[in-house]
Amino acid sequence: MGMFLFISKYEWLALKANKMLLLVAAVTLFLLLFALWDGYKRVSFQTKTIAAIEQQQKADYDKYSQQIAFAKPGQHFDGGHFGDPTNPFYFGSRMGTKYAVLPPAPLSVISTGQGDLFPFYYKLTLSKRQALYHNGEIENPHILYNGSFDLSFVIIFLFPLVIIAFTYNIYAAEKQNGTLQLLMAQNTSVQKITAYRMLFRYLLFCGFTMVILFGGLLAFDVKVSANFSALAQVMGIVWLYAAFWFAFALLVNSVKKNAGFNATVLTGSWLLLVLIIPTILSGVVNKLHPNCSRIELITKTRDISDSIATSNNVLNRFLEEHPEFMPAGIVRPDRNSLTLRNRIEVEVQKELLLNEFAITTQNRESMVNRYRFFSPAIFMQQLLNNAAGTNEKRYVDFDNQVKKYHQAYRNYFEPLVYRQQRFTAEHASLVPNFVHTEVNNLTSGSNTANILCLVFLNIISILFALLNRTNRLFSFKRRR
Amino acid sequence: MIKNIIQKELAEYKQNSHLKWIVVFIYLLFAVALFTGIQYYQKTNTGSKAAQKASYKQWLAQGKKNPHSASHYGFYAYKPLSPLALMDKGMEGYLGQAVWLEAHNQNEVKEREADDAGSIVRFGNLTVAFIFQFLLPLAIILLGFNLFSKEKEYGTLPLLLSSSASIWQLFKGKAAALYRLVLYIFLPMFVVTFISILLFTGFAEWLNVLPHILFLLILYLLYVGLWVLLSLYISSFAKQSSVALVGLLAFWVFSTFFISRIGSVVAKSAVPTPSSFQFSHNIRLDNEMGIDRKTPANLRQKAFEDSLLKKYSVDSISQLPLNIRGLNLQRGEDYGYLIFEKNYGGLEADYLKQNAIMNWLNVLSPPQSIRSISAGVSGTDINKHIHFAEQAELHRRLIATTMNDDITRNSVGINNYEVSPDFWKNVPPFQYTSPSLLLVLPQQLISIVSLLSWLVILRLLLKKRAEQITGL
Repeated sequence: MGMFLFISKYEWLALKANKMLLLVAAVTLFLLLFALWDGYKRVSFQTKTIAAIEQQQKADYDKYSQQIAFAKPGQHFDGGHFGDPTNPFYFGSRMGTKYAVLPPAPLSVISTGQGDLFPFYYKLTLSKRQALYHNGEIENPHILYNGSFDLSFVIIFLFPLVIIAFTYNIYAAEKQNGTLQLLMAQNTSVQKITAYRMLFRYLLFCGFTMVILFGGLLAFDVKVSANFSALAQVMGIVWLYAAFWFAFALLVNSVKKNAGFNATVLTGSWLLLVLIIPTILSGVVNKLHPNCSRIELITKTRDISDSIATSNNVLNRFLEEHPEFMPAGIVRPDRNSLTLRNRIEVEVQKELLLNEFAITTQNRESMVNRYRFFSPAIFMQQLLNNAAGTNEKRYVDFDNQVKKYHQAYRNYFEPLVYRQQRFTAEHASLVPNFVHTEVNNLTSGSNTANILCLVFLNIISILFALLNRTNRLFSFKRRR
Repeated sequence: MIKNIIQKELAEYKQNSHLKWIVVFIYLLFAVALFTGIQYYQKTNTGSKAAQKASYKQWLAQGKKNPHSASHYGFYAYKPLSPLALMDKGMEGYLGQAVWLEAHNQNEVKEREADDAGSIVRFGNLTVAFIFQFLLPLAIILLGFNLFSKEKEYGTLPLLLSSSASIWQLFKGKAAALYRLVLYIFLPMFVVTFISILLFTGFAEWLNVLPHILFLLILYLLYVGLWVLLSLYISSFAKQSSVALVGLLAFWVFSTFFISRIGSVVAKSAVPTPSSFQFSHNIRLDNEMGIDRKTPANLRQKAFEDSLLKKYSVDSISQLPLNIRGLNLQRGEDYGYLIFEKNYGGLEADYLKQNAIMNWLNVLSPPQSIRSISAGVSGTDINKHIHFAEQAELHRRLIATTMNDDITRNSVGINNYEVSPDFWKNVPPFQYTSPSLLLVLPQQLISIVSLLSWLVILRLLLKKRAEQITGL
C-alpha cells in the first residue's frame, strides 16, 4: 500500500507535467457531457410528445362528448355519417382514438438503445391489432444509420480508445525516455511498478468519470437519489468494463516493447472486440435465425382478409353463438357490425402468423445472450440498454400491455356496435384508458456469468502481466 | 530514379511479416462479407418481386365491386433492391420496403428490417463496402505509417538522398509503391465483387448498373490514393514511427466513428423533425380546417358544389350530368394531394436539410464522404428511397383517379354501382424505375468535391513538405 501511494504521488506529478492528462480529461469531459446532452434532448422530446398526446386526447374527448350531448336525430356531421359520434363504430374507429404511451425510464438518458426504432406510443382504434405494427416514430433513416451519440456509445466505443491513448506507452515511454534503467534499479519489480501506475491511472480515470457522470446526470434532470441503486449498478459495470481495458493494456505493455506495436495491438483488439466480433455474431444470428419476412406477412394477411371478407357467415355465426348481442328490434345486422366481426376474425388468424415473429425474435435474442461473452461490448450494450429501459424486453412488454388494452378497448365497443346502440356522452366517459405497468429490467441471472467472465479476464491479464519476467520479453535484464 | 525507389519499397514490403496477416485478415472478412451480401440480395430481391406480383394478383382478383371500395383495398408497392446492395447495403436496414397504395391516405414506406433485427445490428453490418471504406484504410495505415519516418529512425535518409534522389522523388516513389501494393490487395476483391454482381443479379441488371460499378471503381482508386498520401504526409512529420501510427489511427477513429454521430446530433438539433403524432395531427388539422386553417371541410365542400352548379348551369346537385359522389371523391383526393405534398414534402425537405448538414460535416472525414457517395450510387440511400416513394405516390393517384373517373361518368343514377372484375386491369402493375447515374451524382456533389479536395490538398501539402525536409 505504501509503495502504491508513493508511486501514485509521482505518477500524478508526471501526468500533471504531461499534456496527455489534460487532453484525456478534456476529451472525457466533452464526450460525457455531449452524450448526456444528446440523451436529455431525446428524453425531453419524448416527454413533450407524451404531454401533447395526453392533452389532445382529453381535448378530443371533451369536444366529442359535447357534440354527442347536443346531437339531434338526423343531424349532419362533418365527414358525413363517418363523422357521427353517436355511432359507436365510427366513434371507436375515428373520433374516440385513445393512446397507449410508454414513459421514458428514469435512466433513459444513458442509452438510446432500441428507443429510436420502437414506438413509445400507439394509437388505438377499432382497427385490427396488427395495424399497430405499422406505427413507428419519425426519424431520418440517415440518422438511424449513423447511430446516436449517447452515453452507451461513449462508454462502449470511445472509452476504450481513451484508455488506450492513456496507457499504450506506459512502459515503452520509459524506454524511449531512457528512464527504464532507473526503474529497473528500484527494489520493486518493473512489472509491479507498471501495475501500480496502471492502477493509479485506472482509479483516476474512473473517479473522474464518475464525478462528471453524476454531475451531468443531476444537471440534466435525472433523479439521482431516487435511482441511486440502479445508477450504482451501472457505475459498477462501467468500472468493470474500464478495468478490462486497463488490464488488457497492462498485459500488452508487459509483453511488447514498442509503443507503436502496443498501439497497433490495442487498437486492433478494440476493432475486433467492439466491431468485428459483434458484426460477425450478427451475421451468424441472421444466418441461423433469419428474420421473418414482413413482406410475406403482408401478402398472407391480405389473403386471410380476402377469404374472410368473401364469407357471409362470419357475423351470422357469431350472433348465433352470442344472441345477447342481437340488436333489439332489428332483424338485420348492419354493415359496421359485419366489418367489426370480420376484423376480429382476421386478427385471430393473423395472430398465428405473428407468433412466428415472436419465436424468431426470442431465438435470436437467446443466441446473442449465449455468445455475447466473446465480446464485452455486446454485454455492455445489453446492460446499458437494460438500465436505460431502452432494451427490447421493455418494448416487447409494452407491446403486450398494449395488446391487452386493445382487447379491453374493443370489448368495450363491441356490444354497442352489434346492438346498434346510440353512443352517449356517458359511454364516452367510460371508455377504458391505458395504464402502463413498469417491469424490472436491471437484474437478470444470465448477467452474472458475463460479469464473472469479465472479472476472470481482468484477473488473468493482471496476473500474467505481473508474473511475466522472462528476458525475451524485456529489453533489459534487471541488474542485481 | 522513382522506379528504383518503388522497387526498393516493394522489396521491403515483401520482407514485412505483418503484410501476410493483414492480407489474410482482410480477405477472410471480405469472403464473409461477400457471402452475406449475396444471400441478403437474393433473399430480399426474390421476396420483393414475389410480393409485388402477389399484391397485383390480389388486386385483379377482387371480383365484382364498387370502384371506391377497390380504391380502399388498393395494393402494395414494394421497393426493389438495387443490384449493388450486394456490395453496399447502405441504409436499407433502416428504410422501409413496402407502401400501401390506398384511397385518401398517402402512407409512409414501412416494414424496416432493423425493427426485427435486435440490438446486435446497431454495431454495424459487415459488408464489402465496409471492408473497402473502413478496413482497407486501416490496412494502408498499418503498412504506411512508417513510410518516411523509418528512414529517419534507421538513419537511411542521407543515404537515399546521396543517390541524387530529391525528397519529392522519394515521396513519389514511396507513395507509388504503397499504392501499387494496396491495389494488389484491393483489385482482386473488386473484380470478385464485380463478377458476383453479374452472376447473382443477372446480366440485364448488371448491365444497368455497369456505369455505377465503373464509377465506384474510379472512386475507390482515388480513395485508396488519398489514404496513401495521408499516411505518407503524417509519416513525413513524425520523429518516431509510433507517433505517426497513433496520429493516423486517431484520425481513422475520428473519421470513421466519431464524425458521423456528431453529424447526426448537429443535424437533429439544427433541423428538428416532428413526432409521428404531431405529423398525423397536422394532416388531420389540414383536413378538418383547411391548409390555411380558414377553410374547413364543409366550406370547401360548399364551394365545390357551388362551382359545379355554375359550371353545368343547373340549380341543384341532382341535376348534374355526372355522379356527384365520384366528383367529391376526386375533389377530396385532389385536396389530399395538397395536404400530403405539404406535410410529406416538408418532412422530406427536413431530411434533405439534415443530410446536407451531415454531408458538410463529412468534409472532415473521407470515409464518411465515400460512404455517402457509395450508398447513393448503389441505390441504398435515402435519396433513392424518396424517389421510390414519389413514384409509388404517383401510382396511388393513378388508382384513385381511375376509380373516381369511372364512378363520376358511369354511375349516374345507379345505386350500389359495381364494375366487372376486368375493370381492375385498367390500373397497370406498379413498376419502379431507378434514377440514372447522372441524376444521382449531383446529389453527392458535396461528398465528391470533398474527396477530390482532400486529394488535391494532400498533394500540395506533400509538395510543400518535400521542400521543407532537408534530410539532415
